[in-house]
Amino acid sequence: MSSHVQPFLRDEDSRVSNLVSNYQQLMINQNKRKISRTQGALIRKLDTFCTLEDDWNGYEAVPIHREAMESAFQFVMNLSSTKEYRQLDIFPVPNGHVQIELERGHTYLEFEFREDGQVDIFSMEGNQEKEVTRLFNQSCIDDMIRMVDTIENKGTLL
Amino acid sequence: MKIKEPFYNYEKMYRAVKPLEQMWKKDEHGNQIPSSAVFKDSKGVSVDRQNYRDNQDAVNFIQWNFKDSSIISVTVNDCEEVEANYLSDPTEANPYHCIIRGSDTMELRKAQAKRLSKKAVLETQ
Repeated sequence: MSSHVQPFLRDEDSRVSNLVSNYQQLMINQNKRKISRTQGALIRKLDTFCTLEDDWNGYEAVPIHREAMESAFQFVMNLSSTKEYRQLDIFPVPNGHVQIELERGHTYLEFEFREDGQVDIFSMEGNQEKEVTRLFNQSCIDDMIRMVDTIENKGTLL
Repeated sequence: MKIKEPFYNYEKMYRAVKPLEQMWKKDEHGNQIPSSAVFKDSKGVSVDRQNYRDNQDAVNFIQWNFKDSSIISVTVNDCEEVEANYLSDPTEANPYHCIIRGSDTMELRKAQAKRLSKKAVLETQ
């Protein structure tokens, strides 16, 4: 069972959040809770999304929504700090969402964090596809992490 | 495979990608592949068609319009394989402009975006 962390610290006065700074503050607040290299890499990359302005991809992409970044941050912080999820990567989506994806062999898992407090969970294995949209809460996070762990351990979701 | 006119067999469709370091990842074999996010756009995926041009000429043309971008390509056959629609949408500034879209919606389904990203070729960094 992954440990629960407090929600991402909001700074309402700041137009653009700085997740790394806030994360460092979070670490201090929580007695320097350790994170894995994967978590660190994901958070550092997520932090760079703050710099993406209007039209960042040249095709009229919108800036990444703060709420989507917060959800992605919360998911990453709930990953086990003792495991290295080498195939996990994080990407900005032109519609302002944040995407975390995991690919291993023919198995693909994708989480798209939205600004409305929901997450699209999409998996593809061979010709089988599954897509659901869920409210992003702790129960959802636990299920998402179980899916990631299943692929990491078994190489498949089947 | 039946290719819709005015397109032709294995015609390339080019898309600029930036910022490169944020949109690409390494697969388990160490190969660089783009995220499916590259092919996610609610207005359809904007691309340039090759239209009988030499590959390098077509790459140079789109790169001139999208400075500091990398260029990837998929073929119309790739679009057919993932059941995506492609249509010519020329503008005054860009006679080669096209849209790759879903069957029912402008945005590709997640599976279509993922499958196209796996077929994408990096033309130039």
